[in-house]
Amino acid sequence: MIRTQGYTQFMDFSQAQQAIPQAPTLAALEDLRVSLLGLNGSITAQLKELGKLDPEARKAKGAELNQQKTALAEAIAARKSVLEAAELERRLSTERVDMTLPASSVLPLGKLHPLSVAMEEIAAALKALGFVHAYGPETETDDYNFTKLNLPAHHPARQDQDTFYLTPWAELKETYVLRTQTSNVQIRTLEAVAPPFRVMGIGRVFRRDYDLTHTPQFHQVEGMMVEEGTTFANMAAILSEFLRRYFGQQFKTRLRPHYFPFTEPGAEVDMECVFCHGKGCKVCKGTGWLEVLGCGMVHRNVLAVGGLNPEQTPGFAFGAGVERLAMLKYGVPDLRLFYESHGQFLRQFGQAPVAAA
Amino acid sequence: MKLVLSWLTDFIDLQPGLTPQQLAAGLVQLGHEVDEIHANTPTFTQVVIGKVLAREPHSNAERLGVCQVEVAPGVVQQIVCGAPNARAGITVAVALPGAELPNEVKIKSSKIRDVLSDGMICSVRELGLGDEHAGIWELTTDLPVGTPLHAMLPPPEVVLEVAITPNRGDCLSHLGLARDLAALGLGTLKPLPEISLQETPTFPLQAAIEATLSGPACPQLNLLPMMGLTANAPSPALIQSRLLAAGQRPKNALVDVTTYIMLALGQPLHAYDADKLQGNTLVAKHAAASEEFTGLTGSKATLSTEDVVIADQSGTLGLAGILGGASTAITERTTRVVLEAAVFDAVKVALTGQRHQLHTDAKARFERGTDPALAQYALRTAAHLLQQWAGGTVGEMVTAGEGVAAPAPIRYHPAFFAKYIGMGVPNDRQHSILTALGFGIREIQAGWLLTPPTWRTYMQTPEDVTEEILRVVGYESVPHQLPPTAPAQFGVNGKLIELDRRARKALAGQGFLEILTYSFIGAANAAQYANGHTPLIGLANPLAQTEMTTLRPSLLPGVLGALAKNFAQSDVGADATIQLAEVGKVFRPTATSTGEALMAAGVLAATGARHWQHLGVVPEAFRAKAAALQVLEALGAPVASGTTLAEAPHHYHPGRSGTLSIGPFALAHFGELHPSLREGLEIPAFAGPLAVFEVYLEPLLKLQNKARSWQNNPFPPARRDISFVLPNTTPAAAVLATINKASKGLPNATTVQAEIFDCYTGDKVPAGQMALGLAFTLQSPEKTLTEAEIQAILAPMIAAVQTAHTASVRS
Repeated sequence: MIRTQGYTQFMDFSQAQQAIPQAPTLAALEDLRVSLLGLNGSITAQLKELGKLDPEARKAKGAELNQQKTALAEAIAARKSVLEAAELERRLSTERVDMTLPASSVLPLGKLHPLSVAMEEIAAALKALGFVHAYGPETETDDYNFTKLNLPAHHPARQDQDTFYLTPWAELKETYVLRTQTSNVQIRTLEAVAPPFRVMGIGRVFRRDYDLTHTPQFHQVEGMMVEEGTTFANMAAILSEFLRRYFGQQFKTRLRPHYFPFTEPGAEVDMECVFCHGKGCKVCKGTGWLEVLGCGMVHRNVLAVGGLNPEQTPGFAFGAGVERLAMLKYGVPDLRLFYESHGQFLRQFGQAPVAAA
Repeated sequence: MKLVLSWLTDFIDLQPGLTPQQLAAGLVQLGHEVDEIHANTPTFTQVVIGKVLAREPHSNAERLGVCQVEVAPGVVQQIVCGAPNARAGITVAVALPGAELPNEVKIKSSKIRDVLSDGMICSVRELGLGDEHAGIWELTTDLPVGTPLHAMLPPPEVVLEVAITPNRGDCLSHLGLARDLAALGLGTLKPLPEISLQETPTFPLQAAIEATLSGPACPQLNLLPMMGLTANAPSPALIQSRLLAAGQRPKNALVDVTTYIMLALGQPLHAYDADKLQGNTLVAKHAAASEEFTGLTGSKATLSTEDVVIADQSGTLGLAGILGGASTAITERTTRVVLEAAVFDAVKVALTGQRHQLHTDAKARFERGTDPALAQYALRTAAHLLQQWAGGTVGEMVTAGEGVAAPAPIRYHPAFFAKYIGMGVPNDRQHSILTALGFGIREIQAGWLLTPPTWRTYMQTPEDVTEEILRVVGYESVPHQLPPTAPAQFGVNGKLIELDRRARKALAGQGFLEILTYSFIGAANAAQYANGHTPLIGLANPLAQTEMTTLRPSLLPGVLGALAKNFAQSDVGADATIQLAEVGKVFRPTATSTGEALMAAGVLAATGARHWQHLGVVPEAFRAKAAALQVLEALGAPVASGTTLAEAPHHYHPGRSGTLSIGPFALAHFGELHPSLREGLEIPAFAGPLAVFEVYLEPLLKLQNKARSWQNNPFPPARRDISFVLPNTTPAAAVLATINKASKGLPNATTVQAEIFDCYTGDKVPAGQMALGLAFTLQSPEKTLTEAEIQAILAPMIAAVQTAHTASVRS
C-alpha cells in the first residue's frame, strides 16, 4: 500500500466528504483520517488556529469545525466497517478446507462394556427403589457361599451349581471356592447391618459349565430387603417395579413356586416376552414368558446369621443373571459374545460413558 | 422326571376332559416346571406280531441268521436278521414287505448276501418306540400271530417332562405327583391297593444292621426272598410301554420291577441274585477302609469307613442307597432273588455319592429323602407284581431297624399367613388345603399343631407351611403391594463397587474400549505376570488342564490376549490407536488370604490405520503413564503428591517403566511391556512396543484429595524459566523433589511450583549431560512480587539443584 502523503493537505471539507466513502482500502482510509483528524491533520490544524480569532468569530468557526470533525469521524467509521467486512469476506474466501475429508481422530471413542452398562442400569433401577450397593468378594469360603445360605455339604441343590474349588495354597483350614452366586452379599450384610435395610450386590460369579448357553463366569444381581412387616406381596411389587424401571416399560410378570434352599416360600418370576409381548416366539420357546428372576422370602436359617427370625423381622431376597437381562434389553443374541473381547461387538453394543446411567 | 399320563391315572382319577396342557399348568402352579409335553404315537405301518419258528446260521455271513417266521396263522416267511437275541420260540414285531417305519424307512423283499429276506424283525428303536437297539424286541409269547402291532400296543402314552426341585424327592414318582395334583383339585386320589401276598417258605434269610453304624445311617432294612421265578421273563407289554415312555429300557421282569416300583412309588429297590449270596444274612454296615468296590454298571470305587454298604459273609454287595454290586447282579439265568427296600439317611447317601462321583436314580431319591412309611409296602408290591410277571413263590419279609421317628410337629398359626404373605386366606381354606396335602392338624391354644406327611422332607417351619398353602391357592393371586418408602440411610460396604464402576467410566472416558476377560488363565501365562506372588492359586477342578487353570495375578494377560485376538481378526478399528482396558479382580495370594484385589489395566497399540493427515503415532511408555495417572486423577487420588520411581514388575521393560506411589501405597505401574513378553504375543510389529499400565484401585479407599475451601488469589503469578545442565542419568522427579524441599517454609504463604517443559540431550550440551527446562510459577497471596523478591525466592532453589545434582544453570 502506498501512502499518498501530501495530497490531502489541500482537501477541504466537502472534498473529504466525497473522498472518504471512496477510500479503496483500510490503509487509504487511515491515511485520510490522519490527514484530516490526526495530530497534524487539516481539521486539527484549523482547530488550533481558532485561538487567533476574536471571540465572536471563534465561537462560530469553532462550532462549524467541530460539526465537520464529527461528521468526518462518523463517515470514516462507516467506511471502515464496510472495508473491514469486505476484507473479512475476502480472507474467508481464501480459507477453505474440504470438510468432507475424514475427521482427525486423536483419541478413539471409549466404550463401556455392555455388561457394565447393564449393571449401571440395574443398579440405578434398584437404587430408585431404596436399595444400596453392598460388596462381596469373588473368592469365598465354602461357608459363606453355601453353608450359611442353608446349603450344607450334603444338600442336593449343591449339584445344581457346579462349583470351582480352589487348590489349597497355604496352611488354611477352610475350603475356598469361586463364588457361585452373589448371595454372599446377603450373608455379609446380615452379619454387619441391623435392619431395616435394602441392599443389592452385583458382580462376577463362576460356575463350572461351558457350552452354547453357559460361560464359566457370568454376572449376577442380588437384592435383599429385611424389615419388620415385609411380605411376599411387597416382593412381588418390588420385582415388577424393578423390571419396569430397568426395561423402561411395563411388562406383565407372573410368579411361580420354585425351590431355593435360602428362601421360603421361593419363587421364580416370569416376564412377558420382550420380543413378542406374550404371543409366543423363538426366544420364549412359544410360551410367551421369559424366566428372569429367582426370589423368595429369606429362609429362617439365613436370617439366623443376623440373629433374626421371620416372625419378627422377615425379609425377601432375589437374584437374576445380568447377562440375561442385558441380552433381552439390547438384543444380544449369544451369551459368549460378552467375553470374546470382539472389538466390533464392543463398539456396537458398548456405550460411551456419557450415555450410561 | 417323565410323568406318564396313563401311569398317573393308577393313582388319581383326573377330572374328566382335563387336557395335558391343563395338567401341565396345574403342575407349574404347584412348583413343578413342565419342560415339554409329548406323545409317543407310533409312526409305522404294516408291522405284525410274528413268531420265530427256527433260526439257522447264514451260510455267507457269520453274524447273520436266517429265520423262519410265522407272520400269520400258517404263513411262514424267511427273514434274515443280525440280532444276537433272534432265536426260535420268541414272539417278535415283523415289518412286512411294503411296511413303512419311522425315519422314512421302507421295507421290501430283498436278498441279503444271496439269501432271500421277506421283511424285517424290528428292534424297539426301529419302531420309534424307544431307544433300545441292542437286539430285536421280544414280546410276550401269548400275543396272537398275524395281528397288527398297532392293535396290540397300548394307546399312545402322553408324557410330561417335569423338573422336580431338590426339596421334592417325593415327586420323583407318579404317586407323589398324583398327590400334589389331587390337593390342587385336579382329581381324586385313589387309595393305594391292598397287597396280600401268599407267603410260603423259600430259603432262610436275615436282615441286620451293624451296631457300629452310627446314628440313623440305615434306620430300616427290609428284605424279601423269592424263588422259582422264570428266568429272563419279559415284563408285560403295558409295563414295557410305560417304562419306555418314562425313558427306561425294559430288560426283564426281575430288573424291570425294581425300576417300575421306584418310578411308581418313589421307593428305590434292589434285587440280589440269591444264588450268589454267601450265608443267610444281609447286613448294613460301614465299609472297610480302602475297600475296592465294583458296581453293576462296571464303575469302580475305593470306599472309606464313611460309606455305608450292604454286605454278606463274603463282603460288600452294594453301596447303600446308590448302586448294587457286580457280584450279585441279576442275570438272564436268575431264578432266586432277594428284594431289598431300605430306608437310608439322606446325608450319608449324598456324601457317599459325592465322594465317589456316583449319581444314580436311587441316590437322587434317597438324598432328597424317601417316605420311610412306604418302604415295606413298596417291597410287597414289587413281590406281588413279580409273581404275576414271572411266577415263583414269595417268602417271608424280614426287617432290621425300627424305622424313622415321626417328623416333629410344626406350630403354625393361620394368622401368620396373612402377616407373612400379605394376602389373607380363610382358616377353613387353609385347613382343607393342608389336609389334602396329607398334614395332620390338631388345634391347640396358639393355633395349629401340624404333623407333616411322612413323604415330605424339608417340611419343618411355619414358613414352609405358608408355601404349601400359597402354591395351592396360586402364587398369581398374590396382590402387588409396594412397601412404604425405603429406610433411612444405613452403612454397607459398597465403596469398592463405586470405585469399580467409576474406574470403568474413567477409562472409557479416556478412549479405552472396556473388555471383560476370564478370571482364570493358563498357569504358564499367569506365572509370567506373577511378580513374585508365587505360588498362585489354581482351580482344583478346572474346565481344561492347560487353559483356565489359575486365578489371574494380573489383568494384563487377559488384556493382551484380547489385543492379539483383535489383531488376528482384523478387528482393531479405524483409529490410529487401539486402547483396551479391563477393571476387575486379581488374585495374589498371601499366607492368610486369596489376595483378591481390584485393579484396572490397559494397553495402547498402534493399529496401522492410515490417516490423510498422517496423525498415526505409535503409543509409547508415556502414553501409558498418562492414562494411568488420569484414571487415578479421575478417581480423586492426590496424584500430585505421588512419587514416581523408575522401577516396575518384571513384566515391564526394565528401562522404560515406572511406578507411582503415595506413601506406602503403590498406585500404578506403567511402561512398555517387556520385550521378551512382547515377542511371545502374536501382534504385528507395527503395533509398537505395547504401552501398558496397571492401576491399584483399593488404596483409593484411603487416599483421596482432601476437601479444601475455595481461595481466590487476586495477585498475578510470576513465571520464570530456568534451564539446568546436569548429568543425563538424573531422574527428573529427583530435581523436582529438590526444588520442592527447598520451597518449604517460604514466608507469607508464597507458593512456588516447578514444571518440566523441556528435556534435551544432543550436541548443544556436553556428552553425558542433558538440559532440563523448568518453568517456575511464584505467587503470593498478599502482593504482586517484585523482581528482587522473585530472585530472592528462586536463588536458594537454584543453588539446591546445583549442589544436589551437580547442575549448572544454562544461560
